[in-house]
Amino acid sequence: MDRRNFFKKSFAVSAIGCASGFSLLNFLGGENKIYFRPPGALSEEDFLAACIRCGKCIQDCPYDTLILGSAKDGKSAGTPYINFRETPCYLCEDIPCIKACPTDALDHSLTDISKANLGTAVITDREACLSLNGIRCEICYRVCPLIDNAITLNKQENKATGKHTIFEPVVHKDACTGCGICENACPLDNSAITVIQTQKGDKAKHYFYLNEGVTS
Amino acid sequence: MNWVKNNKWKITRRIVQIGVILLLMTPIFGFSFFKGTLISSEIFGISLTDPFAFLDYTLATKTIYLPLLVSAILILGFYFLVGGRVFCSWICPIFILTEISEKLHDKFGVFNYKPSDSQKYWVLGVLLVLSLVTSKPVFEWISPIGIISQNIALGVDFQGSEFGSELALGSGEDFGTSKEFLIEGRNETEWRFLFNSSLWLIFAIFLIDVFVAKGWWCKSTCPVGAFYSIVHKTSPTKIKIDHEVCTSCGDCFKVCLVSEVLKEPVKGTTKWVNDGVCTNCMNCVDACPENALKLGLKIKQE
Repeated sequence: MDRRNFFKKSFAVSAIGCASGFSLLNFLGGENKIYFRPPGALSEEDFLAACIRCGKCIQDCPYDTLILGSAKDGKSAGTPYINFRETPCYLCEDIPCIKACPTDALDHSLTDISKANLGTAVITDREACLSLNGIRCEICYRVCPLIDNAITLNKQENKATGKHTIFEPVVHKDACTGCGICENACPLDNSAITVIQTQKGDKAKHYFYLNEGVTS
Repeated sequence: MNWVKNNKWKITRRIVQIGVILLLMTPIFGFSFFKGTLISSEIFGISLTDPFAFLDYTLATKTIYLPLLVSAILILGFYFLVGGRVFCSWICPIFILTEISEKLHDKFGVFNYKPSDSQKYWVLGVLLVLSLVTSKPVFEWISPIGIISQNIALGVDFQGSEFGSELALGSGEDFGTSKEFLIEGRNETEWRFLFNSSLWLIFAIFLIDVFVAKGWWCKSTCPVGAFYSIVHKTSPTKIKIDHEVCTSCGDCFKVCLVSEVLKEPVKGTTKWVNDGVCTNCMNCVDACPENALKLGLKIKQE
């Protein structure tokens, strides 16, 4: 093998190595984070099995809420997900993303968007929350599309001043769709209210005891 | 004018290939009659799905979803009629890259690796078994066809430049060094997009095509191509050779990507290009100086 040929070959091999290395590292590595799926999505495992990565839901989303998973998203590459801080789900009444899905990765039997369950909003930073610090913020409450159902205000005495009221936003898991509009609207740099993934209908026993006066 | 006459199929095919790319882009320009990618699409309200994606879905979920089956059968029926691998040479955008890389391979190819003919069937089998075992549609996950059509239909993938989520996760203020932290995070994600894109996979395939083996992906690896080869074998639409006119000049071999399929017909043992690997790209029909090659319907065995 002459020298010229050797350089040519090593160039070819290293170019191919780089390109395939980047893609393999991305696809096989992936980020270890929770992906929030469109309304009606099956549980994560079933969703990844049923989603054929066609991208139609992303195309049909009128608010560009849905983001296409790229190679860096590992096994979620090619699937739709939501970053609430960027764009939340605005809960379209005709649910175009579900209509666009060619498989049952998005449950076609979901027709009432208020029954969607993307997750549940939770006040994750009580120390930062302006409302809990006695400031009249309550933005999450005002923007909630299910205002007074999914988020209510719990009035308490403000012990710091002794004469004001703290309007504490309280999220009700049963009603919350996890649309993320509250997380998106939180005026703090890092939202004090975030959507987390929960199962609906698994209220703890003490909840019934304290709030509904029954034991289940 | 003569050039147009001698290349009429090639010109038609180029128009279709570019048309497919424009069709995929129509939603970006605000049209609504078409949406989707080559994995699954919808045209005038009719849902169409790549039958291989249907197979993958069925094996991964172990269920048959009827609307998906119907949309896959529509596509399967279409390619049965026109010849399975018409998908490859007329529709698939990866094939355009293969055609470019073929030309470049003649100039820059440093290896001349010849993968075996059965390789793509092995890939097909292994991927389907993997889908069954891992319960994920494995090929749809890494499909270059899916990646390229998503990048055409939804805009080029620069997801890595999106830094919202990373910043939200690491809360700078809590560490008391908010500014440095934020700037660092932003810089890191801004250059990282170069390495995050799924398009690297397409680029890797292109480089292998150019440097290592002519038509490595389309000809001997792609499982969708392998699937459509099986369809093509049963399809009635095939290239027909007229032995009385053929002078065995070999011009058709020069333009054919999968020239081994022409061996038997030109030798004279059969009237039809029976091999499923043929893509009905019609290059040979254009190239034949005697017009011995034509597209025909093979309805009964001859």
